[in-house]
Amino acid sequence: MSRSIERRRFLATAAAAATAGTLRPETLGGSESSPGVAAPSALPLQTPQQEPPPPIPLGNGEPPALQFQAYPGGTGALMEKLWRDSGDSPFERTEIDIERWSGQVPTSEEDVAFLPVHRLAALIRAREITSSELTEVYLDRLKRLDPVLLCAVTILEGRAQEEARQADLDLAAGDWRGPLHGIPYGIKDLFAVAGTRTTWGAADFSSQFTRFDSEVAVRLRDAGAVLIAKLATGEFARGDRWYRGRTLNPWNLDEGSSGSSAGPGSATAAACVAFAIGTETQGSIVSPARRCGLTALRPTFGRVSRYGGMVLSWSMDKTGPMCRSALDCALVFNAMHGADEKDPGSLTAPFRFDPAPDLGAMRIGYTEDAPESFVEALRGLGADPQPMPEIPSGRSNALGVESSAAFDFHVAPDGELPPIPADADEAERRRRGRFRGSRDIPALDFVQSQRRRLILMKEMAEVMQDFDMFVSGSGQVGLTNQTGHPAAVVPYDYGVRNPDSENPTEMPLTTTLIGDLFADDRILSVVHAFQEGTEWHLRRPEIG
Amino acid sequence: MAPAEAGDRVESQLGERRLRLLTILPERGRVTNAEIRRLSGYSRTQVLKLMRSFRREGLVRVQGWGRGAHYVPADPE
Repeated sequence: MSRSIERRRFLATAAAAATAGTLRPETLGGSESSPGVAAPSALPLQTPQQEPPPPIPLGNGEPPALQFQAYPGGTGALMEKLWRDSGDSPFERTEIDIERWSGQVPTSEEDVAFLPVHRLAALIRAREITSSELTEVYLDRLKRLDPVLLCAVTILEGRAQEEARQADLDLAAGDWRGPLHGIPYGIKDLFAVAGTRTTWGAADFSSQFTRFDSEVAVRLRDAGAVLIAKLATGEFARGDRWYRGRTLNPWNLDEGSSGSSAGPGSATAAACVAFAIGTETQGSIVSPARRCGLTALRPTFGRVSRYGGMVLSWSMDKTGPMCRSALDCALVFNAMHGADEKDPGSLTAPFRFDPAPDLGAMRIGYTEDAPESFVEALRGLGADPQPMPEIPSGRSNALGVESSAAFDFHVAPDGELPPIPADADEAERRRRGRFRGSRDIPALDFVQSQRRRLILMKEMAEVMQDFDMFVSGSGQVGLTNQTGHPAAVVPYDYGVRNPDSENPTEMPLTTTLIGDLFADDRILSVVHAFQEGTEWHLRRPEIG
Repeated sequence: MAPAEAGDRVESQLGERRLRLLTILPERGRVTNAEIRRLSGYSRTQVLKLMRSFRREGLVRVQGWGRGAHYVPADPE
């Protein structure tokens, strides 16, 4: 029997029972009545003779009816505000100009590989290099460095060569699709791409193939980008360990890249791709970007579709670009943001990147752990940074509960939890127990926690009334992933990141710039202004 | 820029200690309250307060109990 017919029968059963005034959970296949407890005889049930249908089976991806909205006043109020504040075209995508190529073309493949996207785009547009040539440069680096870094799950050589060839043909025919035309990139292996494995970093899913494309892959393909690799993710989007081992930091091969956007961080820092797409639920873009010395954007919640991506938390998952400059982040974000009917948590808001922002007009704050030299540099650019008032704190159980729901199909496939082997060590127990801990949280506690979360969001909105953004040393990943605020990671210096380590690492030092909701364009504009006068973001690891 | 006031210097030192601890944690894998006191010069209460704020920010989690309690970096998700 098809599922749609099953659903119709379910609805008919519910309607009949409701009409008869006998709507009960057990009528609907619910489980609120206890086994062995009879229904009160004074209220006889008038159910149809047939067995109630079983509940609709759920996998990882089906979203709940309740949707998170980052704007505390609700998306409706936000839309009205956008119309009011942004003129008559708040949803129109604005083009970002890139400077034309002039001068010598780098002769070394390494020099080409480390160029930021906006320079590669200028080279391709000027036909100084073809997408096919560029794709070979990155494929060679991936094949050479992946055995060391473990940054790629699948290298899509043939497919990438074909896409690059098509990009070259399109350009020759006068069809330049924009700054990402012909640019090779990698995507975190949480995202489905038809015909490729999508492993989620887990051995149990290492042979998972899908027949559909994630929305972000479709939008980047439409923008002309060339997908060359599915990049490593920590197992089920946590940390930097996955079923083949640990993804490493190109700046220090003695340590992991952090995660869970481990491959996107490692591969972009090692110039195995021109840019990469990562995801964050709680730290998974910010942390590997900082560990690997990148520039990255964790966007405001809802700005980029997550359709086709593995779900950890419907109310916290976000998709964002991991690059080697803020301008690159803006170019990539501009190609993929905006509402998608297939992701009910998504929306469109204006993104107006300004390559020459007036920092004097920006209301910038800083926390006590903000790096002084970065704050001082912003002053030098005309800003007037002010200390932040106390920032609210609070957590919710959203990630635990939602991830348990998203992985119920895997953890308890028959509704039963298999026992964890008694001889499992602590790490293994933690790994296997990951999606179990929140299964017993009462629905009431979940709802109350989400009500408190909205209070936290309102408190944060109050703090941000006087600020467009603020510099934070820690990154406030716990708070801002609850509230949905955007964050940019920015290299601000170069030095030893870990002086207490046995193997101190010289690399770009990074901080975070946290934006007000939907100020993704403004934080990237400020980071870009800073990067126009500095070269920390252009340093390269010695991995070659 | 005007010379830093005494209060600014204290705030700056606090920030530097926070940052240093955030760097040390992933390097060491685990640290105890006593180790953090030795590294930072904080009192036991200050360490507990700091670690509570790190836990709220999702940066660390606690393992073990009593004297065996230690802090480990939270794996980003």
